[in-house]
Amino acid sequence: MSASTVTLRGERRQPVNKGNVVANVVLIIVCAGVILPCLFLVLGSLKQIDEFFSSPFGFPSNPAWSNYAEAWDEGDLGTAFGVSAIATIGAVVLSTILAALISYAISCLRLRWGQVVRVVFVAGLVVPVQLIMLAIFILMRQMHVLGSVWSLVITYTTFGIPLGVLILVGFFQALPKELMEAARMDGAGHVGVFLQVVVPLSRPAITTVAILNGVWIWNDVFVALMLSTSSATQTLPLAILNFFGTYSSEWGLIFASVVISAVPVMIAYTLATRTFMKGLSAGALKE
Amino acid sequence: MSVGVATRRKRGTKQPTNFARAAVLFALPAVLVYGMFFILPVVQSFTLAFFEWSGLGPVGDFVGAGNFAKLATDDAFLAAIAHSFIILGVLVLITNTFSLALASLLNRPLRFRGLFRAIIVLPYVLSPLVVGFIWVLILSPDIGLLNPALEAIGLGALQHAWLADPAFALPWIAVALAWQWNGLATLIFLTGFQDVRQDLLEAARLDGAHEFQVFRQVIVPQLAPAFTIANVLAAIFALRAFDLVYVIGGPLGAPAGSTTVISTIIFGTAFGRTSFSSDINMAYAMTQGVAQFLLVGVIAVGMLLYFGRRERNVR
Amino acid sequence: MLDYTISRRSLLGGAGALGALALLQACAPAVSGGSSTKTVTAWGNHPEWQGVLEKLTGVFQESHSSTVVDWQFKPNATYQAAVNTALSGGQAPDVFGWLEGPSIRQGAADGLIMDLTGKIDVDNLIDPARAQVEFDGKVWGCPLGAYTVGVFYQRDVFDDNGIDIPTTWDELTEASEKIAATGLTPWAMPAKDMILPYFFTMLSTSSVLGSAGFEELLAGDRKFTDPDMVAGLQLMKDLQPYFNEGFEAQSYAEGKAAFAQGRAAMIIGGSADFAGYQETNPDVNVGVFGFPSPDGGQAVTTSGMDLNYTVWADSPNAEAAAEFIGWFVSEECQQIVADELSIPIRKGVAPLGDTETARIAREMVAAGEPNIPLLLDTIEGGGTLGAVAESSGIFSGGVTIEQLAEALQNSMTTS
Repeated sequence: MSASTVTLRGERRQPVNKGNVVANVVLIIVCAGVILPCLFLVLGSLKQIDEFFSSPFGFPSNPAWSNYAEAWDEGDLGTAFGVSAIATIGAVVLSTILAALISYAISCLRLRWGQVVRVVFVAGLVVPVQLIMLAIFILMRQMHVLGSVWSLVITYTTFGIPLGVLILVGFFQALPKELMEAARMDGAGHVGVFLQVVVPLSRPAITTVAILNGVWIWNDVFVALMLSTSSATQTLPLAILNFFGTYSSEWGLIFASVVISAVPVMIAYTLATRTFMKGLSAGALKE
Repeated sequence: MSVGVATRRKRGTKQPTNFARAAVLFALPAVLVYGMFFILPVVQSFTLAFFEWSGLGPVGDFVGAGNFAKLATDDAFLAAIAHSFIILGVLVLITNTFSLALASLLNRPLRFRGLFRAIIVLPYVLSPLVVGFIWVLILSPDIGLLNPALEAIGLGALQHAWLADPAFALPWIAVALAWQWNGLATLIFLTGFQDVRQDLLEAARLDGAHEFQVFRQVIVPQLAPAFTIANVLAAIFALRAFDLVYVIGGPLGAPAGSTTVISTIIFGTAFGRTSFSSDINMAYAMTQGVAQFLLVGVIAVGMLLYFGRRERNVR
Repeated sequence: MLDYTISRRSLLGGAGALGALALLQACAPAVSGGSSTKTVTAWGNHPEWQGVLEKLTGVFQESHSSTVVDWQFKPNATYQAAVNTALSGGQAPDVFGWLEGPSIRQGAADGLIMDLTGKIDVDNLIDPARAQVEFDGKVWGCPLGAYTVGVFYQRDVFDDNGIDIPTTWDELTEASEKIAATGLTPWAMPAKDMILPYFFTMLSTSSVLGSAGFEELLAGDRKFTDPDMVAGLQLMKDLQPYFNEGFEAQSYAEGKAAFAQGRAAMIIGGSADFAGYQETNPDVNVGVFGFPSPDGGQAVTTSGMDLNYTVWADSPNAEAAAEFIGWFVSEECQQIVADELSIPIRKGVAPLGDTETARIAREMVAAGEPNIPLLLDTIEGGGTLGAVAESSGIFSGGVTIEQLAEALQNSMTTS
């Protein structure tokens, strides 16, 4: 990656380094500002309630690592984790596939009324979710999936498609048509072109869609709340919400469970960025 | 590549029906799922806007445009729209200046680039509910972080009960939202930077252009697609914000209703503005929902057209 | 080219694994047991009560071995949303509650809950509880507990500064002033959701009315716009300088924590709040006094109900659910409630034991003579909380006291 900007010309090196120093300084300052609230999150997770309020930003006098174990047990986070994992992974996979298929149809197969379809799908991003939850509740009940994780998977999948269409249609449109033609010349059918040419080239975009949808689905509270009629649909955010009582709240446990909840997302993001960068370098070198 | 040329000429005549049929087949699954689980519920829900219904018990009578007429005189709703627009303004501003600048810095070959990037994106992956709580505690006049910090650097005179002051509460909410949003906006631009063509950069530099000129006239135009997506998503993020605003401002948009936004008003109308509320009106909430949909839709389309045109100009 | 093979294979593999997982989940045995045990689903709104509720349920299940109760909790702020959606969506839990006030009547009118006449021992319910669930000649549900609201104060702050329990409004203001002079914040008044300000106004106006006056208010013979009532509202404004900094945006939980940790000397509080204070600060040293009357008469407290539990009209386990709710009135249930949860709703049950919780509960009961029912629980006054909530501008000057009085009066459904 650095090969492209560092040249062999001596004159270039000086300004680049100075710029880099400035960049580093600015970034350090910005990151410090950004991470402060997050640090507070971690610190808070190690405190007991009384210390939480008496010294919310100080270091815990007695790091309560037990908060994590307690949160895990009391909140039944293990089950909630599993439910969230199935719902999120399932919905992300399905919505990405569906979005990719229809985006391909719109961008590369010249679907009739393709632009209209595109707008209808992207408009879904703009609909206030809270209001249609009742209708969806009724639908899920009629399908007899209320109370099972399927209700979450179906709903999240549906809500994840618009973002996928928004990003993938644009991306597919920008792909070089020559490669697709070449594949067709070689005898590939539409599915072949899709899987052999479009998908591999779209790794960064597909990864982006997956992460973006994954994040909001993993953290979603409202949809899960409305559809959760049994503990089989208790997702991680709902389990955390249960720590917020009306008359008292277990802050240390709340923060501990939030940290627990954030870890998989961070891991997924870190892993995904590697694929991301790989796909990108393939794209850049192609130029 | 000569093969490619040959096919280009033939493209118009070759496989139209094959394409059309395949297109429909590829589109079908998404259309079925989306149609059944989204379009249908949306139509059902929005139809309720034409009736009278509290949300519990049997649906009331048809009132036509009655609910919509109420919107015009609904001061609370209009105030919430104004607040949402303020947040929108802040986020769009931050996106096109701060996030862009940050992305350009992150694009350099720095040693800790991966770490910096991870930290900057981190806020976006956190639950907005939790982010709201963290910011409430930071800004608290009793046990917060901001006031003591101001004191420590000698700006003690600026200490304030931030969230209790109508002049500052909403701006701080915008800051909290921007803190989260910046993570994604920076990532979007960073991705865009990857597609910037190095040969054009080299050429411009060889011509003697300053770095800033290079940035403005060579890089920025090539970032057009990133601008489009970043701004459109920023608008949607801003206008649909709910969890974070609800946590910081509460169900009543404290202080004195200055922190209400469209989503929290709709939630309050649908399910009650206090925890002991029998004052619910689901049908009217649907009406407000339609209004929100149209509003956000217009803004999003407007942005798409504006930025999309710049995209096409670049190509 | 290798890429696509891998991706197609892994795609299929992933899809297969996922499908298997999801199938397993969906087919997981629903724990409804055999034909002999019935599982009753119940929704509660105080997640922090889970422990005690499960204990209560355990006791119930001992004497009703064929019923299993499965509690789920929705946080208070979202409880109504969840219940409304479930009811309108056609699948509600067997047992769920209505927030105090007239909403249960609407539920009955809409045919959403079961008629439980004859299944609830209403004669043993305290009057306010009975009034909530018995109407139109029928009984529709049963609350689990009640709460009483008074003024909590830091005992050592009062002792150290030679402050006596205020018996008049002037004394209350003087006490606030004295405390402020020591540098401590006199009042914690979290107003983000306007709940505590609402209780303040209810207490101050109740102290003007007394029991007889309260009846007159319901009948329409007294109004919030009467000068002495307006004076009660004005009192809140007069005390505003003594409220904690930033109170307008402070949440209930934060305010309570501030009080519990001694950062404020007084707070309007209910019987169920004490457990929360203790959790935040195990060494909390507080007492309760009734809200003083304007000029030395009797101090008042006000009482409300917690959820009024009812049975869903279309419940498949109606009998078992009704039995469960009916059991709430029983002595064994209410004794546990009195000792560990909140004020009991059965006549003649008092908190036993020497715990701090029991002491506070007893103090709370004794503090208000008379104890005035919360206006919110009456048909006439069901809209008063909304009226106060919409008047949050009272603190910033956007709403005047007269306007607040009018709003309150207009929200009453008397003649």
